[in-house]
Amino acid sequence: MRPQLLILPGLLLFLFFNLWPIVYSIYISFTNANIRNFPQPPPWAPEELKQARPPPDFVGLANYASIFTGPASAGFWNAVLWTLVFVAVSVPAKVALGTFVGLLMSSEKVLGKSVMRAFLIVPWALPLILSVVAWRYVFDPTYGVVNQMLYSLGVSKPPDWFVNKDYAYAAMVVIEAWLAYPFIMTVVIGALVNVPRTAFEAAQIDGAGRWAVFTRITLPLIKRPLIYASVMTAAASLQFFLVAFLWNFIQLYDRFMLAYGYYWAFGSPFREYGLAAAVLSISALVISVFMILAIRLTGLMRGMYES
Amino acid sequence: MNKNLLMGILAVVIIIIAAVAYLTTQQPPAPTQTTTNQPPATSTTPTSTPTPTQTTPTPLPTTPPTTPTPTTTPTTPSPTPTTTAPPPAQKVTIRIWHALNPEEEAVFKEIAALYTQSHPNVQVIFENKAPDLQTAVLAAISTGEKFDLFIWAHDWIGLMVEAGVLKPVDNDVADVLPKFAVQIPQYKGHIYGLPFTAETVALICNKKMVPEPPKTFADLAKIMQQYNKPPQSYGIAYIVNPYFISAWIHGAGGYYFDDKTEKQGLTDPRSIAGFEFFKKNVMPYVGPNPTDYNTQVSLFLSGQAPCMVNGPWSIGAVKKAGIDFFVAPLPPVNSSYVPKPYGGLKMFYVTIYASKEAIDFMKWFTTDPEVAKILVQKLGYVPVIKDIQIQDPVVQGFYEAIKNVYLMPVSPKMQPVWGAVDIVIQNAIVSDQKTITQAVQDAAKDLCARGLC
Repeated sequence: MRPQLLILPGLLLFLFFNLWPIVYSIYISFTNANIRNFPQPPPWAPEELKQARPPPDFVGLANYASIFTGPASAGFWNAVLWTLVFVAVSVPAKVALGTFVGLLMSSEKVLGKSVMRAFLIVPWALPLILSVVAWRYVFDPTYGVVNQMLYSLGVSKPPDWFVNKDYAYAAMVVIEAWLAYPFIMTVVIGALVNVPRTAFEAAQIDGAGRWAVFTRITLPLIKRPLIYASVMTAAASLQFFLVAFLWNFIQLYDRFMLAYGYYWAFGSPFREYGLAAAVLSISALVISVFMILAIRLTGLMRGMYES
Repeated sequence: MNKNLLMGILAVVIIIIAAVAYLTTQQPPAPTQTTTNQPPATSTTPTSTPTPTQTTPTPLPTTPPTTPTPTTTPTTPSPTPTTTAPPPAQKVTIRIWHALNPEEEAVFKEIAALYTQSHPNVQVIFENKAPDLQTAVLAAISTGEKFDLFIWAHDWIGLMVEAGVLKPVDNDVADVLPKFAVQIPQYKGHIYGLPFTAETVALICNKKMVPEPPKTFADLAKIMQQYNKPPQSYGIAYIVNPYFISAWIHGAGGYYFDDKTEKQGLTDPRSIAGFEFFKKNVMPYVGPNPTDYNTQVSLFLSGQAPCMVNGPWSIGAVKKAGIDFFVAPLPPVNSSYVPKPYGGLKMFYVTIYASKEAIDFMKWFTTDPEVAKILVQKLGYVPVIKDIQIQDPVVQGFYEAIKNVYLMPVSPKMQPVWGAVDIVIQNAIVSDQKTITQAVQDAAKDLCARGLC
């Protein structure tokens, strides 16, 4: 028996659990699957059920046409655009915050670093649902800390962070930055450990200021881990869904690609699974293209297949 | 010899065994179904009696080999031949799915026991599918699991008909329709089940502060003004959300959604007038956190508000707080502006597998005055049949309120409208971010983007 055959069990499992769902959902996106006909009754189901639920029809590219030019297009383009805006805003925020805290936590002048690091990791470790509930209190329009502060600053009508679409979206950026900075921070701390102290000392002796040390020494030395973390966290921003879903889905459903797909599958009157599958397939494509470009342009994989 | 090779072969064998086991446990029902249709003629009681004890504890997961076969045995023969004269020993099992609370379930079982006394060939099984009955029903439909009836408020009809779960029973129930005091919910002109109780909102007032039910809205306005001394007390406890304020929109002649045309009516000038009326005449007297249910209820329970607008489900808490209260319909503004709150009917839904016995049971349950009396006494259910004497003043109050009810839409297209109205309320009634006209126009635009123009 040839040894290659031994990968067969694993390969079969992989194909069944990883590849099949992808292939199947792409297939669904070419049909008019909805609550009337999907999922299909099994072959042993009673006859009356089979009559009541005819199989979904193959509709070709109709769902994709609907996304790009038809009734779903306005919402979809909106979702794609705002998701990209979200990446553009939240990723720099996360990276800046994470890097800043990471540098701070690596400084010799900070006391009790290990304890503080442990506390700073908390957002990462908390169950997401708990974080969202906590943030709901922070942003509560009447009793929340944010609006109380705005009151005391003299804002007579502070915004409603749940109901107003744009403010809710802004709250999403803040929450995402809070949720993701521990990841960046951890990467930065880890990278700084490997930077030789002599580099900093030499720069100081040469008379470089803090900013010069940061831009000329620190940043180049932790560049690769930082780029890696940024690309990873950009992917997380592209797939942002759960917080928006828990926050106020009826306002945010057309601001994030995955939320928009979810809306068509479970929030629309007839549960248009076919359309939802198409939306999510396109979203997967957008995310893949983004990731490939990001990795290519930043040279993240360079040198990986050498040596 | 080769350990790795052996392990690999072992893994393959296990996978194959698992796959074969899966397929064999899934498929047998198909062949056995046809074969077991003959046995019941000879061996009736012994085969069917053990089944209910097995079905109740393990409804879904381990069904394949055992349960479908026996449960179908009694039900399948009934539709094919005309079942008027089957042998009397023929046992029929009625499976009813529900998400009732334990207290309700106990009363329902008691009532079902009354029925089985006079119909010894019938057995009624209640299966609790809480907390997500909808998913359970839709999942059962896709796997072909059979049950006869399920219990829920009437607003799922549209969705369930579209999903192919329900069967129309217009002809079967035609004879009992005149007994109902309310309109029977229909979807596209067909009836899919019968209701046994109604729910809507009414005015619940503290007798210490309000001795007599207000006759007109002007009376109510006086009461609200008298007690509106924030932060000690407020004019009224009112949960400001689409369901609770619907009375004023419908009363003004407007509507959120028309079930017949399946169109939203938010931009209708009469709907806007209804929103304006509520905002101008009720909203100023509502306590803090108007969209929060618990805040509003606790205002009333602590005596900080003379009246509360709420439904029968809140009565238990009011009684527990020891408040002396009465229930009255929302008072009319004038002879043409009578508040019409949304109403929900709790009903039996008839699935495509329902046997004739199940439909008969449903007809008996929903129209028998004795059953209604038990439901009133034990659960405080508001009856929906005519000719019934109600002793309980609370139920009587809601029974009056139900006469003005506007039935909740059954079309699945209503679903996004709830959210749209909620946004109107939040933007233009609870806060002043937008004018009402602006807010309803934005909501209409938003609904259009969701394919509901």
